[in-house]
Amino acid sequence: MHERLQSIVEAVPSITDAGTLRLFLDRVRALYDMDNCIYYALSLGGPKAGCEFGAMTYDHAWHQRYEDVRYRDCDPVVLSAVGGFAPINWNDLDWTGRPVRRLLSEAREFRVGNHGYTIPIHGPGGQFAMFTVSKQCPEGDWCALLAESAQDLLLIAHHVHRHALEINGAAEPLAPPSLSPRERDALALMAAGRSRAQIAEKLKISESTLRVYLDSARHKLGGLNAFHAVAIAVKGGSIKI
Amino acid sequence: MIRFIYGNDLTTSPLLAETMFRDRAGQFRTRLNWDVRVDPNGWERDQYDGPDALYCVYVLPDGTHGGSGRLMPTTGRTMLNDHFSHLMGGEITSPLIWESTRFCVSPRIAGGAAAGARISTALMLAGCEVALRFGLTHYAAVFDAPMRRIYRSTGWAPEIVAEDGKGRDKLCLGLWEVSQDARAAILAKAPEGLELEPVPAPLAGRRALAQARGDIDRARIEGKLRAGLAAEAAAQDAAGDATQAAGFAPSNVVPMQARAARAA
Repeated sequence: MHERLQSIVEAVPSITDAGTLRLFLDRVRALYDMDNCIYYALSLGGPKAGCEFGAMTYDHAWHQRYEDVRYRDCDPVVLSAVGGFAPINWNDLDWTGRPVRRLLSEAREFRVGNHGYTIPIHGPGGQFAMFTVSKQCPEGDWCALLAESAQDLLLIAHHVHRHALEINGAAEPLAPPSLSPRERDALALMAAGRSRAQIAEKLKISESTLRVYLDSARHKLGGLNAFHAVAIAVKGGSIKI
Repeated sequence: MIRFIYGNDLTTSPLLAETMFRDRAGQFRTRLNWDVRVDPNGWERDQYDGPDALYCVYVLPDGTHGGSGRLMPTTGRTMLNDHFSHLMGGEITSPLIWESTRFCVSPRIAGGAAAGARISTALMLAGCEVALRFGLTHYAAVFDAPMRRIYRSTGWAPEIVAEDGKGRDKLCLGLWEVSQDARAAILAKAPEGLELEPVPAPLAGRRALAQARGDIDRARIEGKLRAGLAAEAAAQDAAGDATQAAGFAPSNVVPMQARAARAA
């Protein structure tokens, strides 16, 4: 994991409320060279369905205006994110129609940025959240920036969302994670201090495939990274060392 | 030409949808004799053909389906985890890993194996483009043993991590690593001048709204939407191109040339 992503991911537990979330988003914005960063859950799902939680680096006045005019009802980003799981490059959306044009021109006044990227997150029980970055820059710069950050942003989005569920008491009680035998083997070898190359050789798989096992195990365990996943697995008794 | 279409948006391309689902019936039931459901219209569809599924479709010059694959993230419901988790002894779930299913080349195409190989290669390139754009690290898929040779010939071979059964009926679970190198390897085998449309945002705006989850006040939004549509219709003549005016460069109208990409 690259240093930048590592430092962001390690900061996820520092989020305890909307205020600390805002500080976290500031950090993402700075490290990924964006103008703005937003995490917003429109529904935390299950018993917390309808509960919202989030923060943004936008000017507070813009958020106020957005809510007052109920721009979310016509914002193409929201409408597109509601309908799918794939990340959305704002360039690809339909920005025609009067309310949408007004939204755009006002967003420009508040320096939202002319480019944006939104990762929708859908979960059980109607969970729905969006993680967004935006920036004012030429298209070429934007494409280059996205190409190098898309993967990190995807991971950050899911980490923040999981953590948001936890601090709001909306997380599903974690069922004992059903690690596959290979995931368990990979974690156990990692716990024993083996390098990735050694583990791959021992399990007779490529390092690429090892990465799949480790990331799938990490995701199931709610780990911030592979080492954290090992720690959780050891603590929970999923693997023995 | 390759098009990317979300399940939600298939109704906007009725001919393509019709021929895709019929070709899938031809491929999976008639030719491979899989235990798949074919509806009275002759369409092979399953529970994973939902609004969220992302289809990569090879479009023939007459506008019909030449081949396709269906992509979805492993953080949601997947065929892999619902039906084939025994292969690995557990599920695979990660936002960085998506599954690919229903990889299909139309049984109607002319040109035999060579044409089939061209379409397969084009579809692999499409899948790789999607993954690079979304920042994925891997695809996972379950397939019959004979597909291994086809995948290899596209320049992007999977690593087989689990197998079940024997001979032609052997099931394989394969993982594809996403990288610029993989893309370059497929491009080297891809048909000259292949056009890939950009991956669109889900058309969502309108139709997805009707299916919006219960967490958002459905009635309120739909009311707004109707009002919005009416306002839009009224404004259509008066307004110029807002997208341009706002400084947004619409990238969804510029086709990308595989040839140009290769030269770059």
